[in-house]
Amino acid sequence: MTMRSIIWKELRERPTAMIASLLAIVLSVTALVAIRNVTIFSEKEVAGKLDKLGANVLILPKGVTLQDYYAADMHAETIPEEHVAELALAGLTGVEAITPKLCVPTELNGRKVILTGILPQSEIQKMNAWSGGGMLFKKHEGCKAKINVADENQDAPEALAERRSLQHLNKSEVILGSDFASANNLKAGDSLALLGEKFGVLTVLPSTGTVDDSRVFAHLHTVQRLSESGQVVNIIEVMGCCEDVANGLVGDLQALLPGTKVVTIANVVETQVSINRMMTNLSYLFLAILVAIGGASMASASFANVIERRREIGTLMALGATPRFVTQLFLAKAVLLGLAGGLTGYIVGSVLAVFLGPAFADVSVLPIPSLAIVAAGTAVLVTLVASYFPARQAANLDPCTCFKEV
Amino acid sequence: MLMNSITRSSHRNGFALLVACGIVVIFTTVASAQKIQRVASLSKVETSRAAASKQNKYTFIMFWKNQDDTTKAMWNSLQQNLSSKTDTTTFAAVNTNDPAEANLVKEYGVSRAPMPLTLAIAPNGAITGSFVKQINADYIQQSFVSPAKSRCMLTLQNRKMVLLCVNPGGNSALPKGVQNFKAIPCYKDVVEVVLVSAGESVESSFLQELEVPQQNNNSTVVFMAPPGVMVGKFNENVTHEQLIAELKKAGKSCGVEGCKHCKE
Repeated sequence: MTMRSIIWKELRERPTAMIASLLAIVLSVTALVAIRNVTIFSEKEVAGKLDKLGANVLILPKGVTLQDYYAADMHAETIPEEHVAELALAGLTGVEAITPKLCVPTELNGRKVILTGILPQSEIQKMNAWSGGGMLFKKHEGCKAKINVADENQDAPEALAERRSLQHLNKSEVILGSDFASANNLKAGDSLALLGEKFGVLTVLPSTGTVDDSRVFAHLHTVQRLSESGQVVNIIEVMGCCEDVANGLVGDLQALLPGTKVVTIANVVETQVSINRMMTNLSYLFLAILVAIGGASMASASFANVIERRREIGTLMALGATPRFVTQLFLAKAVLLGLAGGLTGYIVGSVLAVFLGPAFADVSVLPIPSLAIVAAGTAVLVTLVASYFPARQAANLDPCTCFKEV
Repeated sequence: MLMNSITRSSHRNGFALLVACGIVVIFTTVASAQKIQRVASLSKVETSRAAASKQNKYTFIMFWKNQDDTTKAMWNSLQQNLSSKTDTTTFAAVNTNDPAEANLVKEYGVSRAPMPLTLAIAPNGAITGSFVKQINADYIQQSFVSPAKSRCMLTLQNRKMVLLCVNPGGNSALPKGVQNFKAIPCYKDVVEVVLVSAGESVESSFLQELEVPQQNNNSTVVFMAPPGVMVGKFNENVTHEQLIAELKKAGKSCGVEGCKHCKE
């Protein structure tokens, strides 16, 4: 009989003990893999969002609480539009774009739509150049200032989808979100009536997967006039040229506009970041549980196995099996169980994560192959450590004492 | 012989000449009429600004909405500081709600700006200072800039780039790299070349600000882009490739790939 055949025979003959040991490992690994998987994708999602949004700073009315970055302008409170000029004239370092917005709910063909007034950059940059953006004739170093020369790609209205600001927009034109355009069968060059005024469709934005897809963008001053809102806005988005500058901007903006609330993107995703942090800690907790429960279960099963198999172990040793062989026998069985438990736990955990990720963390999750190695490795290590002492105990058995018991 | 030829030609082309003269007279008359109409349609402050520009004077325009304490304080400050400088400045107040000054308000786009707002306008039209809610002697003094600086500012305010060439002595030759850059179709309409003599005393503070040594025997090229960023400083041997590379570098570092620059 070889070691392999002995192990298989042992596992086949005592399936209950094997399943009990395996279950503890599988459950712990499943929890570990599922949580780690969702956490990794959630972190990626946050990092991607931050990267995509750039170094944005939001200026909001004092009483507004922010839940969703893309819907940050959808509230009833307003701030004076003159803050826009104050910002432009202040020439703060690193300000790349200032985008004020005003949202007005309206209807088109019985369907509700948010008409968003937006001020094109061409009407703000003029003021910015009066003070040279605070960097007049200063050397361009890294991200401390940006240049602003006409460019057909960056100035295209479609850039609104990505840059969240646009260069030019006539007062009689609108830009449509992709969902709104397809729902109403509209395309560039068409016309539509909103709030009793006729607009020409300048372009349809590419899909962004955000609430912007169902919006209609028009010139801020047109929206203010049609909605009789006065010279106010719901939000001013300030695009800093890099994250560090955006963080530095907050203090300057708060000092300049004390009646407003200044929020950075980092603040907006703070909740998500704290959830991620909690989930990471939770995955470490499950790792500890895996070590404790899985290890204890394995150790207990192994000790019980040694006691149950005293006669067989004694017979093996009487037939010439060395203590080293007996130790290897138990450790090999532990490796096998650890490997099986780790891989099964990885598969179950990944499947759970794929289904639970979108439901609980609002992120799409895919299996991470590298986690299989981590799961199997951890499980094998735990079972090895847990089986080491029972294996040593088995190896130290005296065959004569075993036969006496018979 | 010659006279005969001219007479014959005159007879032959007499009608054509008459028509040509008629067209010239009509165009001249229409142009003059348009000019007169344009001048006549100027508001009081626009006229004052145009006159100041002709006299090489600065114009300070205070835009206001309400005659509150802040507005009164700013106006008093302007009066105190500019009344003694009538040979170099004029100043005026504009109510943004006054229909007569609507064109001026629209021109500067200040209808929704915080008020009161004072703009300092150089004789060439460049805005050399903007002051919200408060102004003082120091701010006013900073608004007076050299001719080259005001030309650079105007160009930048028109969303164009500036290649400032600081030449030693009376040398008016442009560095080869600048000429080549200016010749590129992609850039020619978005860049202005400004030539300055390093020895000009009136430009010394501007050159000091740019950290360009006035005692240099070689030309210096200062590359600037809107809204007022110095893209780089180069010696006279700069090539157009270097200028393009520096411009692209400046563009990329704003965080957007292929940041606003011509993609040639």
